[in-house]
Amino acid sequence: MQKKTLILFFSFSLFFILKPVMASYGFLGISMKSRGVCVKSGAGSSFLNVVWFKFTKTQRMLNKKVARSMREIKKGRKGKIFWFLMFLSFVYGFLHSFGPGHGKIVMISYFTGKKAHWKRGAMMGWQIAFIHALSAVIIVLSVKSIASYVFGASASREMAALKLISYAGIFIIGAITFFEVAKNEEKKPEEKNFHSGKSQFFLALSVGVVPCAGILLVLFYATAQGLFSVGLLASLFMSLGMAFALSVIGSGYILAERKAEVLIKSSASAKIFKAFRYSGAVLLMLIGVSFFVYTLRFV
Amino acid sequence: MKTHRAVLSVIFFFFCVPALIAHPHVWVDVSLRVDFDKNGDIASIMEIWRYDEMFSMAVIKQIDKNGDGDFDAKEESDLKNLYFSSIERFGFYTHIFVNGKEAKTGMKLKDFSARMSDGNLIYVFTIVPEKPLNPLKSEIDIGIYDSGYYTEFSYEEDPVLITGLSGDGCPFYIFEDDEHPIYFGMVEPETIALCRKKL
Repeated sequence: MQKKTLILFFSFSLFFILKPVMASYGFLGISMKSRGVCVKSGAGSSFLNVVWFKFTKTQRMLNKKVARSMREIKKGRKGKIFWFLMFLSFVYGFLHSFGPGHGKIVMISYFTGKKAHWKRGAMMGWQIAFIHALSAVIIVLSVKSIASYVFGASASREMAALKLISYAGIFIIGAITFFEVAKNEEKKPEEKNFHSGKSQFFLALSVGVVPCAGILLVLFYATAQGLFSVGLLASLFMSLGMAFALSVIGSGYILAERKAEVLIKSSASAKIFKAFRYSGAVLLMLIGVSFFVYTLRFV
Repeated sequence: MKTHRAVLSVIFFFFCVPALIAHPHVWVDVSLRVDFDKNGDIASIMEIWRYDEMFSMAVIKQIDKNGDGDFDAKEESDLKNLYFSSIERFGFYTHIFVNGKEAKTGMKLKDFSARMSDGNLIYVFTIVPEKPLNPLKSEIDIGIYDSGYYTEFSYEEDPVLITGLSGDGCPFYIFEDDEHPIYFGMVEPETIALCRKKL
């Protein structure tokens, strides 16, 4: 039973995370055919479309409600509406982080083949979410308008710079991880150590340094109406929601991968997992390089 | 079998390179008026875009220098240069399909105005197709969406108004366009089939 649940979870998180991953194959110009392989396999695109549609509509509804409740508070309503706003922010943050971005792929690549404790995955989710939010808060405090930041690197040079830092960081951590893995492979099994806490924090920092556009907008909206502290608390609840979602994904992936490893060992070969250990690091480097190059054109 | 599926999932993961690209943070409700000329060609398309409250606030705080809560002529042109002109580059996010194929007809901007209404930034603009488009002769679809998905467009209730054609000569319906998915194949955008009834 437990196995089944974990495998289900594994597939479920992959479904959400891989949708943009798979589709981006076309974006990198590798080939439309392989995009077809990735996207069309599995659940079928119209089902995906329905899920995606519901997902974005719900986010939009939440965004509207957050704005409405802030206006109510501005008008002087007190009490329940405040907590309603915090609740909305939490749910908004939670859902928001299931969309593309927010470091899910990076986190999963990092943990691939690491044999980490699930608590590590949870912790990294919290780290990313809070750095992500903190970056947004700092930006709202230091610029006049965030309108151009929302459109990312294409509209704002500052945002492009932050992204370059972020992708460079991801690449560096990937390279470090690669050498760690290589060193580990030479050791005896009982001496193997797959995890270093420092690199985890720096990776979370690299991912989180790009501000969360959702929080940027919510906090700016509040601040513009003289409700900075309300906006700050709403941002906190949003990042709590994000932290919750990201840590579930992180720790869920670690647990599911371990279960998969046990299953595969019994049926096929453990060599696959040796390849996985390298692949995680290689993937981090690939993400870093490809998005660094992609972002360069906006500078 | 289960193992098989897990392995496959993992393999897919490594075959596909990730995208960390923005998802919609900006929302627009759109409605349009399609004007026809005597020949039944589309003379112009007027679009009304209503931005969400949060993005609208960010824009007005940046553009509204005199702080009166709306745009004067100078502020309107600032807005146009800063934000609207980039939309122009993308064909005003207005995708035209002729018999199911994306028409490469250019669009000329005829007029543009912006105002604030109840906390929402509103664009009203008119575009003129550079080549004749006749929905009575060929199947014309109009989809308003951002393929890069920074902005998500939804249609207002009853989003299309027709002028210049007599009677009920041009009904429309909205469909999910699975032939032209956007955002790297992930999203089937909503597109308007013009002058046709749903089969």
